[in-house]
Amino acid sequence: MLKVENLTGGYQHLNILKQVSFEVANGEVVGLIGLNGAGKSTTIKHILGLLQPKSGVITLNGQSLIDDPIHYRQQIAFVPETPILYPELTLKEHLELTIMAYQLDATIAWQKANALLKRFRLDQMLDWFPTHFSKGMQQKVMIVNAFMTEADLLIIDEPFTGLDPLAVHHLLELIADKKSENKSVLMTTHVLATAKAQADRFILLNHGEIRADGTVSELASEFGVSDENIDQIYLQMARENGDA
Amino acid sequence: MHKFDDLWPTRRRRHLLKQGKYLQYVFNDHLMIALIFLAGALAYWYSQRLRLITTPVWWGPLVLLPILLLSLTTGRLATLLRPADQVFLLPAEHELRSYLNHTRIYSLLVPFIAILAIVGVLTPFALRATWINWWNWLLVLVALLRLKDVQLSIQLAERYDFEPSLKRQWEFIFWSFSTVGILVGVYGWGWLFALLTLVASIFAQVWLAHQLVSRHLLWQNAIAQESQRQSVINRFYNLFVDIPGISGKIKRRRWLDGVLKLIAGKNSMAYQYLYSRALIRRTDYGNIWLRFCIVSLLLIFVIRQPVILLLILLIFLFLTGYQLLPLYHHYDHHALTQIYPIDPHKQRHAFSKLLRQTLLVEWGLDSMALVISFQGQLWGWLIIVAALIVVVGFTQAYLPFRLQRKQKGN
Repeated sequence: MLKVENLTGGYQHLNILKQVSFEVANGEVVGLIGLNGAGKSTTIKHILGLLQPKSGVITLNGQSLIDDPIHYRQQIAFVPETPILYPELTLKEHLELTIMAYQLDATIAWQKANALLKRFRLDQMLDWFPTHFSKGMQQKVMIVNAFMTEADLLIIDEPFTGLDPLAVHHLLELIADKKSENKSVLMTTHVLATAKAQADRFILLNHGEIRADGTVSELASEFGVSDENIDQIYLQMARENGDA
Repeated sequence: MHKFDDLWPTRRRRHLLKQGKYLQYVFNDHLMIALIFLAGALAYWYSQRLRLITTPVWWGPLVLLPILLLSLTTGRLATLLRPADQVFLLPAEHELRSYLNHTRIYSLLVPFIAILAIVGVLTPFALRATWINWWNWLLVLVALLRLKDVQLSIQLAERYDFEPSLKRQWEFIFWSFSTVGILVGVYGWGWLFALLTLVASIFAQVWLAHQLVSRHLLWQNAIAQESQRQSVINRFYNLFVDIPGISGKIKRRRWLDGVLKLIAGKNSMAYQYLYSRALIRRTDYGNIWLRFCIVSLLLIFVIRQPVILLLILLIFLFLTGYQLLPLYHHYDHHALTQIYPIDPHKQRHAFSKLLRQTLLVEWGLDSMALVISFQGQLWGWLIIVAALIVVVGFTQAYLPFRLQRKQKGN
């Protein structure tokens, strides 16, 4: 399980997060939500170790990045918001690299990968350079790479943008599978209506602080909106901020 | 805000600044050393050959003809048009005429220098091996320069909406006239070639200018031709320095997959896997190696002086390794490499191994060429052994030292 305690941090001279604390339990799917610039991606970068916290502690199953970087990282798989690929590697080679990097059992990993590739209709593209794919297909490559690992924590940044409706459906299924395997999933999103299908809980960030934390109905009642119009909470929050 | 007349000076300035910036890298590159040696070797060969010719020979003019024709192909019309022009300048097409005229005159610079250089190099040959005298040869040069000017006028007119068949006719007439004219010239009648060219060129240019008035620019065509021209130049610069948009070209090179398996091995570590693919598929790294290999193989057969050859080959092997050093940092800023659970200590090991293999292949190629070229003489073997010592020294002593220093620098 992921534990973020009193995390303060951001970019060199720019503090974005202020005393953020939350947990993602095993078998739990948590949505990290908030307007642009609220600190969602910054939080993720801290968990991944791409940014160093000014203060606060992040642990995954009791281990921090500083204790044992390799083991810490083996427990995390990441789907970035914009696909990050190696221009000189084919799709198949990206998967091989993941197997190598995470030291997976090649036979089992390939079984998983092939099923995922088939589901996302990428199974005929193995020998191509993914950098030439469309954005949605590149996103699928990133999803396959992350979901074929045995990582305990999946971090998915803006999973639904750019994916076709069928792929969104498949992704939600995959998230449900991970949940049933007792893995944790942390995803950022703007599309609450889609995310609430799988997310157990949402953490609402506002200006680098946690504004609210709870299930869809808890958030809805806190902001005085109905469950069906959960997207209204953004408008409510903007009003609180004095922006709208 | 800006006057239309400023467009050309501004673009020319920016273009020249860019060329100047990139040419610095070209002339500072180690490859230049090799080219100077190669030019020296060729000049020596040329002067030796010239000594053998004392009286005019029948094939003299026939050697000159194709070279002089080729000299006319150097340099194309550089319009410096850019893709956005078809949106922003479309309403100002009429004003673009004076702009394009400027570009034509500017485009004369490079071919004039090239033609002068080619004719200059050919001069001793022409005066020895053919019956032409020096002032007729000078008139051939004048005629060639005139012809190049006409050719650029034709290229400019080709950017306009004339019938494609008409454009083909112009090309045909131009090259037929040039061929016949050069033949007349190299057989001694340079004055006739010059006179005919002068009359014909004035007529052609006046006629073309007159025709252009009622025609429209083919924007897409003109822009496509310009970007194609620039991409040729940029690809050349890219051999020496990273050009945005060009650099980091990636080729699949499926036929090298076997080699990849060989270097990376079956259960290779992540860094070995990544480095080997960057080296083989990215033109910016692979070409460094290829370039040094090809030039050194050439030099092995051209340079007959063993000590000089030894020095050059040793420098080349060292420089190949040296220029491949940036590959070590290629993945440093890639987010996946940072996120993946990869042991960073294996990075140095993987890189050393790959560089060792790369240099050994180059050494192997050089050795084979040396055995053939020296036909098993002692000098050949000496160079092979010395080259191996450099490879081993570089990968076992210099490289660990360099990487250690780089690590500290971080």
